[in-house]
Amino acid sequence: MERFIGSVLAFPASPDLTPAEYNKDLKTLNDILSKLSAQALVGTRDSDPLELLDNRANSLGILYAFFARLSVDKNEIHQLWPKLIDFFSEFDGRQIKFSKDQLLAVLKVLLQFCDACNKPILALKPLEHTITQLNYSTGARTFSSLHTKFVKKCLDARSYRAALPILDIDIEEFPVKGSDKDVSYREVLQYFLYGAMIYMATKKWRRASDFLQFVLSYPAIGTTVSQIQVDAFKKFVLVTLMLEGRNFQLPKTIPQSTARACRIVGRPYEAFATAYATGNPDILRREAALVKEVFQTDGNWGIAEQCLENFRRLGIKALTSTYSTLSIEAIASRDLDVLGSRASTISPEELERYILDMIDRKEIKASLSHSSTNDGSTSCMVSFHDLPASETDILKDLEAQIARTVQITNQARQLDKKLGLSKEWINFTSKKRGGPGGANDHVDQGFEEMDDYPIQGRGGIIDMAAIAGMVGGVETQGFQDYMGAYDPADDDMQPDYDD
Amino acid sequence: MTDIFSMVDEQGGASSAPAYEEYEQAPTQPPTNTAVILVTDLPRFDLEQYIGNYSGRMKVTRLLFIGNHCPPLAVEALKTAISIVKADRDVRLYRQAVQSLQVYAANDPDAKLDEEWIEKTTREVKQKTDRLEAELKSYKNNMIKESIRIGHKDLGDHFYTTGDLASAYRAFSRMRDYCTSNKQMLDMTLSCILICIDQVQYTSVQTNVAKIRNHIRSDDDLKVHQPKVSIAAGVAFLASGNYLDAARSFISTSPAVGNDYNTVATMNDIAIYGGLTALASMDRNMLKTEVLESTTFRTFLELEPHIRRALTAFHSSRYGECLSILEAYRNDYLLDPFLQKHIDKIYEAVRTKSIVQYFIPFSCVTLDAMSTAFGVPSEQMEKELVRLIESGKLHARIDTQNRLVTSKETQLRVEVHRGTLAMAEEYERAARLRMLQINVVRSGLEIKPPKGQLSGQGPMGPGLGGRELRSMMFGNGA
Repeated sequence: MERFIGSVLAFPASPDLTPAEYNKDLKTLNDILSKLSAQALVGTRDSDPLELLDNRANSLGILYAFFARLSVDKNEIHQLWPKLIDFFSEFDGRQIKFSKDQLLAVLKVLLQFCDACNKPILALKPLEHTITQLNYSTGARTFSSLHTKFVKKCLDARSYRAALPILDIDIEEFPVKGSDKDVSYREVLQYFLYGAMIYMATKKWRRASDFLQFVLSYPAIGTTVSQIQVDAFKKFVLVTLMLEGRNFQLPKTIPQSTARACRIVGRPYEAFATAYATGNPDILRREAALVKEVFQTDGNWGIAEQCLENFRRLGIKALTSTYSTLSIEAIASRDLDVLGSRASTISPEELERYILDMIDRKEIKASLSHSSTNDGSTSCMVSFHDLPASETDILKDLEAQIARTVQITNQARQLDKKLGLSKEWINFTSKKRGGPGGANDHVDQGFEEMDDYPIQGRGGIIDMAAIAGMVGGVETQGFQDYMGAYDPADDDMQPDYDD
Repeated sequence: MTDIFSMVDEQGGASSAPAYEEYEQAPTQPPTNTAVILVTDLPRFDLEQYIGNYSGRMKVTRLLFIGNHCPPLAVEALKTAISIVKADRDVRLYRQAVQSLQVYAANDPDAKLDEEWIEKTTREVKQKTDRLEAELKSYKNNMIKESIRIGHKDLGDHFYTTGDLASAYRAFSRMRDYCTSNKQMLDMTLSCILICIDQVQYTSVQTNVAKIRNHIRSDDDLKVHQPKVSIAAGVAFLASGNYLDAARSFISTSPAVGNDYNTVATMNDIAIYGGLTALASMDRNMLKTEVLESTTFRTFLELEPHIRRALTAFHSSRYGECLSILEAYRNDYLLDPFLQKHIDKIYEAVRTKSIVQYFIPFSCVTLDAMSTAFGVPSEQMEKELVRLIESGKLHARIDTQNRLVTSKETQLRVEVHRGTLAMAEEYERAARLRMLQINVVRSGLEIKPPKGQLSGQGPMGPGLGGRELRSMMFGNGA
């Protein structure tokens, strides 16, 4: 017991260790802790390690203590959960590097508890912190199954804003093949679909559209289409209407087969978009009434209503490019309100408020002026102006954009390098050089290669990790996981791959 | 080589048959049909003089056309048509003409079908067809190329005058194999073009025009055939709505054509077609350099001085005058079989162009000034302007309070900046998307067909909401 506390407190030996030394010490500590008995880790009532140790400074020790207590008695969660939540919201990701399995196991228990007492909101903070700490060097930019759980919990808890700190970080990497068994294409698709839904709820249409577009253009083997993609398509149509207004077009990045499947299932949505694009309020009203039921079953009527609401805004916006002044009455007489019942004209006062609201949101730039006519009634004129374009603002935006473009170009270059070093590429190029039959061989073996993929990928993983200067850490851990699950019997069958 | 040509022609002939039926049926519809344009006022021309300028089938075509679209002139036109058709022994057109006449003058002696004549003529025509076909057969047995060609030609001419255009086209295009000289080839293709124009088959006209251009080899050929080819091409372009090319074709027509091609169009027609299509498609500078200063086209314009006046008015920015001249002649043009369908579009284009050109030098104009300039009430003017602005043809805004039209300020610098920004954002988005896709493949996370899931994927984490997630989704192969 004392040895446990002592060795945990002794780490790290000094605050300015080099990363290599830090890793070495951490490994030693981890080995010590993993050999200790559960009894020693649980401690006694007088010297509870959970009280003695600090969540941040001694994350590893605390984790082992939690792990031991929960493996002794699972029901302890009922007492431990407040402390667990604190721990998961504070721990230091660097220390957890070699004990991710324990961490995930403890987290799983906590999440089960949150589910059991139906309080998804409790899980948000722990999940968010864990996501940023889990893959220490890359943080939230590497996808993990926790990402999906987190956004799902945010949706369940209806706390959309809580999800934004994680969602706003662009995913750049996915776990190396075979390293995380909880990650399959479904988790990835779900994450992006749920993410898009959260962006839709917070009215960030451009981000939502990007997320959905990724789901729709997700690579597939053969012509397989996932139901998640079909759902995404439905939402994508509506989001595009919100973003682009009247011109709806499917992006070219979507594979033909996906587009075809989505079109068949999502026909009502396309019809709605076409009706929207006509700009004719009667057609749109008729179409909206037709598709309402379908949209409601799909849970998309809410956003469709927002599209219809937006129709009037677009109509008024379009007026700004045609007129410089127009009376409120003239605008009111235009049939722009498709949400209300047929031909219900909006009162000028109401419209005036509406236009003021649009001016407040900086959607249009206009001014209103009241004047009284001879017979005592007042009339209101709206003068539209061009949206102001300050050169400095635009230049600032441009500079920011240039920085982002440079960054993304660098990323692309790095990715290109990684691809160039991958086993697949090397195999491909060497086969191509290997003679006229080479290319054919490659095609024929395509599927077999897929099956033995992890074995061939082994060298690739180490290569890549070495090149990227990430020896140890995530990649190796994943590799060892993989080796653990690997059945040596298979290896005998394929002596070629025995290295 | 010749085989390919004849094959194409056969197909052309075959495919044109249904369209020909259509062409035949269209005028037989009762004139009360709303789709038919009716001109109730008298046009400015004198029917007899007008029709005297044409020859061949065009005479009948135009007469029937006027008969179907202009009630005041219908009786006179149809009666003339019937007499010509009877002389030509064209039974089908005769029936048509009589049917049309019945609507206007049921009691006229000509409005009764002369069954006896029909029977007799049908028999005679049949006999002649049989005789010509028998002759052709014997020529073929003798294997003399020239005789076979003449045999086909006689048969084609016979079909043409008696109104069997599809058979005529087939007969003429079969001549191609037996043409020995360039001149014969040219004559044959010209006959084909003529039939195509009669059949309202303008795409075939264009292919035939392309063919004939390959055969014009000497300057003499050029002199003789260029006008006809230009006119045919112009008519085809006009029909397909390509006004600029139509205008250029008509304008390039040599005035030497005289009355040589009045089976299609007279010189007056060329002036009108050329002038109108030019007005619809060219800007002021082009009108000056290509039309008003063209030495060849001037001869044509002298025949139709009002077209000349309209062109000059447009060029000197008197748009109202130009439009009112055109408006005055609208009825005449509506009775022209080539122009009728396009006249509204052409006038519309001229109007749009006038408004846009009128507005160019101004930054601000009152609505009233514009409505006087174009001779319409200001409400209508406003509607028209709104339409032009919304379709992006006019860069202006309307001030309904002060009744002004103001031009939009364009801030080019800002526009370029905005464009750049949008493009860069698009690039960034696309790059991110692509890299994500690559990373998905690199991690082996592609969507797999259902079978693959069993071996490829590990078990999903039990609990943790995994169940309801799973129930929502199914990775179904489509």
